[in-house]
Amino acid sequence: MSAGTPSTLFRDAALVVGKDLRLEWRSRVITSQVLPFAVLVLVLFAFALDPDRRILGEATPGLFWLAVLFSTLLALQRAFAVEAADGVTDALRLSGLDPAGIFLGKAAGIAVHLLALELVLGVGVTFFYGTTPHGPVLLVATCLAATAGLAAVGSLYGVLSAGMRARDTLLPLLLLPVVAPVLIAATQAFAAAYDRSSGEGWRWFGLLVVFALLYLAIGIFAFETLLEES
Amino acid sequence: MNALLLAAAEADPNEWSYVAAAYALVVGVILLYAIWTIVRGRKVGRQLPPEDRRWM
Amino acid sequence: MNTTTGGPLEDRETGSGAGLLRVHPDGTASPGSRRFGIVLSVSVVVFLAVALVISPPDSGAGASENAMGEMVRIMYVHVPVANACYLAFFMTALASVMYLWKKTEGWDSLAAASAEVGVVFTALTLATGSIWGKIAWGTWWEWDARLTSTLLMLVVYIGYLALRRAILDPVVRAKRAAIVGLVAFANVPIVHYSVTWWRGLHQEATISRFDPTIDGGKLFALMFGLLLGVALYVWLMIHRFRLQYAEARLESKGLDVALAERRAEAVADRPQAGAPLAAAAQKGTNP
Repeated sequence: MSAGTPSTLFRDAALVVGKDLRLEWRSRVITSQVLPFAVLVLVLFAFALDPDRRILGEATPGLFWLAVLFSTLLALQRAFAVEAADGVTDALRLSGLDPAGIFLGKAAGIAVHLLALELVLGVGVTFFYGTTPHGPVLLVATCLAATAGLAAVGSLYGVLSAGMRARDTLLPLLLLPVVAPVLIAATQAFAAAYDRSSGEGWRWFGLLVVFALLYLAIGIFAFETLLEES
Repeated sequence: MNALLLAAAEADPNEWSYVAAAYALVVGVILLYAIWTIVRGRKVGRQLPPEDRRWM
Repeated sequence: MNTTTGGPLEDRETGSGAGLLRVHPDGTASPGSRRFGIVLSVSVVVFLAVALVISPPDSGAGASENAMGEMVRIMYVHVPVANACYLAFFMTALASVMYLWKKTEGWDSLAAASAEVGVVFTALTLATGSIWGKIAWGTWWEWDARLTSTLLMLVVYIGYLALRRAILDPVVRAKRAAIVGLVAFANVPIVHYSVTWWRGLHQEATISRFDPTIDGGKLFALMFGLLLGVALYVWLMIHRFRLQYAEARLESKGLDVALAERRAEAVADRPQAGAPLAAAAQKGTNP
């Protein structure tokens, strides 16, 4: 498998994204199970923290991103359990597609799912916790950068733990400490946006961008090794 | 003068118990880990012929 | 499986030295590592004497209310142990890169061995840091940037070891572990910066009420400790690496044996083909 030119890289990525989104469109597991789960988490936070609106309002950025993280785990397990069961990883390996393209495609597919999730959760916290959003540019930029980072680490670790014993328990243990900086940075950026002190927020946004770029680079570098195995 | 008295009061035997706990923990854990490693090594080594253990 | 290793002990002890240098015939020790170990044991005793008795307590830099007193002695184990854990994880990352490049089993064994030793040292770093914090801050745990990022590092490498246990195929395991070993190390500075900024936001950097003057006997104790920490890491690694190597050899042997058994089974099953289920059921009840 030789590394292709940039055009074939993006063509291969588009093929993989198309496949993953079509799969979701037909099965609707994310829409019918993970999205309701995310909303349920928001409700449970309210139960745990006393439905006193002040506490919930103050904690909104953290609760939002915590709900995103938990839902990400479910979405990832769904995305890669499907592949392991049907031997799709083998098929992708034999397809002759550029490994970096496959990685970017998988990450993009997960990113689309996560953005949908964040949209629903954003509406959810506004509705349930009564938080009025401020600084829409910073909020959207944070969501995009954090999602890119989560999707990059997520697809790297999703393939890594595919076909493994005890995968369902191992993935959270591997993934959550690595994405802890995303939780910190995205929460702080959101808090800065809500407090209308966006100067501080853009620094956290910068950290999210660095995180996303680093893990996209590692994924592109490592995916060929991961796919050629066994 | 007051500061000196305070320093003297702070240097109580209580401090020594924390120091002792830290040293006991470090020495103890490293010792246990070393023993565990050596025991595991013997267990595995017993199942291998000497030509597979090149350090012998 | 043990039939090949049942030779008389005398045969296997040749060349293993005598007296103190005599090593266990099945163990991971060699005369060289035994010599090293003896020197190390003596050094530990000398170090304990220097660190706990000979070196003076801290009297503070200028103002005596900043003095750490006897507590300064915790630094002589905490700093070396922390240093050794970073050394161990650096070695894991280096060996992981080397594995991805060379694809030889030895580098994988080195990465695995170093990660386990590193986890032990990291746990000790946290424990001694926490004991120090009990005096410095009055609580066992403070969300201090360095303690927090060390805790996250510990969890990441526990995950690395769990991953290694979860994969049976040696080649698949080596590749995936190498990637995780690399990611884990790349993660250390990111976690450090994010946690430092995070703590810096809500409060001023923790002002230690201690300001030790590390000089003379105290400096000597600290340097001695640092040197000893590295030496201990090396000695533990010699044994842990040999264990990992032996396990890998045993594993590949086990695979060969399993393959041979499978082949023998296939040959034996051929005459009674048509009743494979009965044969399998029989095997199940009689392992």
